[in-house]
Amino acid sequence: MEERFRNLLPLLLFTALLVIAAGIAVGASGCFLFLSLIPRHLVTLLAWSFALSSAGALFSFLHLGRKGRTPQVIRGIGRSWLSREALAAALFTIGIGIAMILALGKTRSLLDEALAAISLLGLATTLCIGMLYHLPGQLTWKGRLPASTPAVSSLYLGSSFTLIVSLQYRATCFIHIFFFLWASDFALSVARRQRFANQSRHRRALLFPRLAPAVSFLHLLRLLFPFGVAFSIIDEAFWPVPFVIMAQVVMDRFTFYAGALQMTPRALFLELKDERMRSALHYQNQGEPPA
Amino acid sequence: MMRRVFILDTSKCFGCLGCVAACVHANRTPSGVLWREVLKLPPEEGSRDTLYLSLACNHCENAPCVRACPSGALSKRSTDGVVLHDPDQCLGCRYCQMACPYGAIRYDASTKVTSKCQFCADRIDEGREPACVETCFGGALRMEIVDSEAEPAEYRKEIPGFVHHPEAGPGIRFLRK
Repeated sequence: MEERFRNLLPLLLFTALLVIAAGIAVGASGCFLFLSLIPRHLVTLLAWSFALSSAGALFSFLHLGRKGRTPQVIRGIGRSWLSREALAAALFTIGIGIAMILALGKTRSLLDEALAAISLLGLATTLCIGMLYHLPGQLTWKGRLPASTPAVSSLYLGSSFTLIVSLQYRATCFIHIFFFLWASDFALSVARRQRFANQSRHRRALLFPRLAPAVSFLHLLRLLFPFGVAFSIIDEAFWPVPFVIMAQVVMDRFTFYAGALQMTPRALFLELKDERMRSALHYQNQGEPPA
Repeated sequence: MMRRVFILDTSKCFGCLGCVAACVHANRTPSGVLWREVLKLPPEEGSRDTLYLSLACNHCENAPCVRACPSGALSKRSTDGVVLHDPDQCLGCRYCQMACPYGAIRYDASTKVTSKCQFCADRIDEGREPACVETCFGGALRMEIVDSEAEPAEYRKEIPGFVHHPEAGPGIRFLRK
């Protein structure tokens, strides 16, 4: 694996784990608030969410060059999406911890409010992750499409939990929400694949050219996952659905980072140089410039 | 708004790399960390002109790196628009590298922080020119203070081979005969 990509692995894990943690928190909160999920199951789901977001925070911390300066990360809150993401992720993780303590208590006062708050914080974190990479120089990252993907993935994962619980209670109204998010996720994955296929002809601009075949393959494989989810639901095999969606999130993050494409002057020069060399060779061999 | 910009006359640059050497010498950049680079493009069919572009940080008007930096290590000087980097504030998160559309920010593995061209801020504050400009004996590279509202017509923002990002507003202009 390319060394520069290895440097991005903590970020890949951090963002994937946070998106999954937010999805679990949203799903658990939705099930508890609207479907009377039993508190024991709520605590289990919140514990998973807490563990994943804490692990994500640890990975994020490890990727910093100067770990001792971590508290300075919130100094740019007014302008930097990275600062906002760090703050939202920290509040989200603390919020889950508080919600767990409240869920374990006897009275469970303020639990509903805490669950609503962590759901919003989780979604805010995923929105920050999306906006963070909305950068003018990165051709495959910029735009609303990649920016909205983490939040849609979280909602989709959350809705899968809600769907499973709702079907146990024979409340089928949540199936519409789930399939709306299923369709959104599928449309986003098609659009992402299309964008990468269009842009990856600029091979010199790819940050990780050796990973390009893997990215193309995973994009195609990723298109099959929604069908697997749909078949599972039709077959009434519900429990694998959240795990399939979690695998999707990890694949999405991999293809996102590995498919980075930055048209710097160096990349453009190399592209133009290749073009001119090809043209010169053609001229030498054929005696006429290529059409 | 008045801002400092690099002016590169591509008809005069012949790729001697003097600017790169001067930058390394003046800023004592570590081995393998070059704030300035010279890109070479062979001539087109039927032409004899090899194009050399001497590029460093463009000190953009709406610098994406400054907006990205979470710790405030990157800042824009209000007096002349120079984008400064303070290594003592840098977290080494490398987000500025992702944000910079020109690939001008370097990571120093020994200090574990990023670094970039500072427009030789200490030298220009003393009334001198940046090291790269002072060294350029072909007269291809200059520094000027321009009014972004009223720039001379001969200054070009785009030339073939340079990616112009208007949303960032790079502080480099080209002269080409």
